[in-house]
Amino acid sequence: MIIGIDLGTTNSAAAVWRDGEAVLIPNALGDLLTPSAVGLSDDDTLLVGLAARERHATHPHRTATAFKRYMGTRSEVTLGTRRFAAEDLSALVLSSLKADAEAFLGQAVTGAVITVPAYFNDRQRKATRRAGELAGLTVERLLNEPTAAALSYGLADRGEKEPFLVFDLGGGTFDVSVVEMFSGIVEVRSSAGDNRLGGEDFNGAIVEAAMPGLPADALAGADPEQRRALLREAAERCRRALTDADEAVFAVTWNDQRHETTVTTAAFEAAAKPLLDRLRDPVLRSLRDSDIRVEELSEVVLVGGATRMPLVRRTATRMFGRFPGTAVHPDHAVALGAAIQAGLKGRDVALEEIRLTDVCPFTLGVDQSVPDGRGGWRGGIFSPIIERNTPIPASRVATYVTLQDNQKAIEFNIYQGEARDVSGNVRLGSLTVPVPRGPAGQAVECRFSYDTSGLLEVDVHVPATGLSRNLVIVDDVDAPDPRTLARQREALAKLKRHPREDAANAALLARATRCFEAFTGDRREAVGHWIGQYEAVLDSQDPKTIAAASTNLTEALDQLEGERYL
Amino acid sequence: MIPPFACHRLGIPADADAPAIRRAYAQTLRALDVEADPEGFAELREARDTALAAARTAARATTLAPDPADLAPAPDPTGEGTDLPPLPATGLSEPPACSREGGSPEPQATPLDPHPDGITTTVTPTNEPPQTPDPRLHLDTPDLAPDPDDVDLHAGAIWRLLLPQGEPVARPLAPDELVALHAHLDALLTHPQLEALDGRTRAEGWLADLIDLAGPRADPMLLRAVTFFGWDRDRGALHQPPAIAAALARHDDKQFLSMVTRPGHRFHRAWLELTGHRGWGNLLVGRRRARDLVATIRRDHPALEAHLDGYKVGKLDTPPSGSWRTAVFAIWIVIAIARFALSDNGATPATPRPIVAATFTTPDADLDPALRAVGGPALTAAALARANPAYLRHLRGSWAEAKRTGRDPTDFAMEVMQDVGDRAGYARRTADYDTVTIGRRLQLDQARAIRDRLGTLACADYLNGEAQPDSVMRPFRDRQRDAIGRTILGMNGVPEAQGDGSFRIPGDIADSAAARAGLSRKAFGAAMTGKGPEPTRCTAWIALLETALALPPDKGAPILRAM
Repeated sequence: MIIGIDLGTTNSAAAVWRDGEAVLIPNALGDLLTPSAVGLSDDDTLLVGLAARERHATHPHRTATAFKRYMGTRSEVTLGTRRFAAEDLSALVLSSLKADAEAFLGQAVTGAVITVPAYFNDRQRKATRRAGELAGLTVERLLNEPTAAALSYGLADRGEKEPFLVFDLGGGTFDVSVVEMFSGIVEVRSSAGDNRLGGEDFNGAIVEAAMPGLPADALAGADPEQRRALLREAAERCRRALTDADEAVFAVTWNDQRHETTVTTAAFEAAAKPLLDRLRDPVLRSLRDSDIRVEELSEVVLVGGATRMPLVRRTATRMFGRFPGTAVHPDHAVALGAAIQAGLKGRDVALEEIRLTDVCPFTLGVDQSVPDGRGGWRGGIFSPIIERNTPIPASRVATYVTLQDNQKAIEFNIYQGEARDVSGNVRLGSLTVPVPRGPAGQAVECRFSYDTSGLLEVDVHVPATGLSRNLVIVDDVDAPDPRTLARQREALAKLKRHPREDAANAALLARATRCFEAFTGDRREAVGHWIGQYEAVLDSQDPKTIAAASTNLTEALDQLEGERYL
Repeated sequence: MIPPFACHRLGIPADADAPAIRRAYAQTLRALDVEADPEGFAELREARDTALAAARTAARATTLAPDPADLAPAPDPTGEGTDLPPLPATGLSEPPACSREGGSPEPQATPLDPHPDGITTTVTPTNEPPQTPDPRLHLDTPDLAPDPDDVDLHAGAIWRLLLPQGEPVARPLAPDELVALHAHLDALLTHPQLEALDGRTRAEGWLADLIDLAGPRADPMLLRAVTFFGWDRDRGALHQPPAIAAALARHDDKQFLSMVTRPGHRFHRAWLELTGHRGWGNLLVGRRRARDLVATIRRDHPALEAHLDGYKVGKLDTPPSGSWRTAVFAIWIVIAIARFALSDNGATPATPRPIVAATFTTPDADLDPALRAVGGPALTAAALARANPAYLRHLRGSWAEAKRTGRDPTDFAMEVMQDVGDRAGYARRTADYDTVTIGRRLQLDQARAIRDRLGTLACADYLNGEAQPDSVMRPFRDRQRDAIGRTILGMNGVPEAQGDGSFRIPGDIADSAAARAGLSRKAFGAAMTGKGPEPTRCTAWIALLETALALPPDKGAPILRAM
């Protein structure tokens, strides 16, 4: 069984293609969205999802969030006494989703289509693939998030669609794709994006707008992690509240003192202006690359929770000169699109007519030397072989010549990026090929083949000797062999986990604990009281009383701080 | 018309329209396994794109007669004049195709009309004279509140400020013109119409082209334009449009220039030096700093290299490095010279210099080291005083003379050694048998050693009196010293050189020597008189030495003394 998974920065979701439609899979708490958060409880039990996220503000050293930002890097997070890489954390989220899917579908789930931001580079994609494998899933395909949203949007009514633009502002990344649909063919014309622009950054803008209103020593004594977690929690809440009102409360509690201030929309807009400016570049780039003008677009499709912000909607309206469409659910579209692709992979009959063609978002090439006008050579100049937004699978050849007489070999360094100087691009690997001795100008052909799963193959051929060398860019520095992968998987599987039934209770308890810390005085006392009662009920282990107590506690907390959000 | 290869690939007639092309493409794509046949997919895509482009051109040709004022070549394959600047593959392609409005009324917008309302009036490139330049920047976005006059007002004003009489001029803006320029630019950039993407893009292109055309007069605008449109965010990108890249480069150059002409910047002095300013600055400019400056300019600000003095830069530039062979050869030469200099070939003193005091003290104290160095430990001034006072007096006289004339003590010491050596040679003629044999035996051993190690030629040279390499002679040094010392101590008075060095060899000795050498009598004679070839001379001499030493004292002494 293959499912589709949207592995997001803030929230993740899973969906499946069933009976001719894409259906979202609820998790153990009954929610359709699972926060991408991983934590360890005080007795080192693994917590994934809402329970972990609720603990982020109170136990920042034992909780990790927004680790999608570190995919493709080697940085590690310490939870308690253990260290996790970003892939491990993503794998834990994926295995939680896998368990949810198996419970929902009643059968084993072996494969998944996982979505990645369109602008994820090669390293980040490989890391996502590894995370899937660590979770015990065969990664059938890595699908670009805006493409998934386009699939979900396009399949709603399979008519002809003039080119439309998918504007995907998620928790951590921003992607833009220009997509066209006709006769069942979904064709991505171009993709662009910004890997460091998302809802989390807007949280930073809220903090910036709120800081003047807080006393200077509000968080005195807090270490950086705690500080960051507390501010982020407050900012998230405030930002969501600003969706419906013109001003919202920003509150942090530290050292048993609660500090509140108000943030107005105007202040938020002023602080977020640089971020809003950055929204423009990828849009322009994708329009330019696809050769489509703004007025030719039939629709602008907003995807991603962060597009709910009125600020972003206003900016998009001004940018495009029209109101963006609301045909797709911003939180669900990507997961549903992934499920559609899973259905395509499974060759479902209902999807027989549909074909999807995507593009390569980055330019791929090698480094070369160019004459510098003074008889010398300037090295490190990027020579593109596959231009960005080439439809994939793509295969292109370029010919290079030796620079000097009696040169023994040519070394190809493979890069991905847009900068003219290779130092500004991402290095993927290198390949050396011996050349026959002779005067400068010996020709060598270099062929790049890039397939739909994002695997780059480099073939170098020397016509004079008939020698060929081949390099498959699997991993730049260290290709983990299957044993290492298996070992890593075992290590992750060894973590203690709650039984599935207890997940909801754990999340509720974590929420209550957070409220306890967030409030002071009478309210804190009250919450403490409720927690004590609830724990007593949990000990009784009677399902009915537990369910009733959970409902009561949830209501009480909702009254206190507003409804729980995802 | 659609090219045949595309028709064939897609299975469509040559006059198919866009929807038909798309349907055919969809059908063919469905039948194709894209993963297994990437080349086929690429072909199909290319066929479709070409077909669509051809169909578009055909459709346009039927709806609009060609406008002669248009610039014909459109580098983009779609053939449609997009108002966004088309993307060049590298930064070196020609500037985007420009279209001009000849002032004719705007045509009604048709679906495939390439010049709908709001055509961008981009500025013509500098190599073509603008015919009727239109300062209006038409931004027409029907959905937003239209206010074209407002935008065009400011755009026109900016245009007129930068291009008086429609032509680029060299003189910079006057202060009041500058104020007006900034005011209009502010108004233009904050206009609500620029919030829409297309308006902004057109304004960006228009401004970039205007900056390019107006030249340095537009420099005050550069900073504002760069920061507003964020051109510096794409710095160094492959696909940056050339006009924008040029404007950004000018902006960067301006910044760099203003920084480097400020005292205190790390390149300031190097800049002054290389731009030809005289002054004491050039003494304090290190070559490395100057080279760094030139490298920075060449890499990041190539246009600024024109400011530098070519001669000075040329002096700094090292020639392109030669192959490693040159370096190896140079090193080899240096090593060879060093070896030669350090080796004992040539006129190196056979004995090491004695260690003497830096100044003259007493005669005996100064003579002792020299005597010991040449004559061994036995030959001291005191011993000489006992054995040969006359010679010692002679040496002391030389010392006094040297001291009086202020000679270098080391030179004097060397002279003494030379003198002692020479006297020893002369003294042999009158020395007793034992002393002579010791000397001659030593000579024989040396000759044999040289002959064996260096060959007969070297041996002949040695026997002629030329100094030989230290490496061969060193083992005999001690013996030589002792021999000299013994001779000096045994001699009487101060012997002088006598005769011309020739001597007679009695016939029977000559015969036995010749026989020993394996030579004929005649050859032997020739060798002894220095006429034969060197190898023979060497052999002959050695043979004679051996023969003479083998003789009883009374027979051999005269020969040995005389040799």
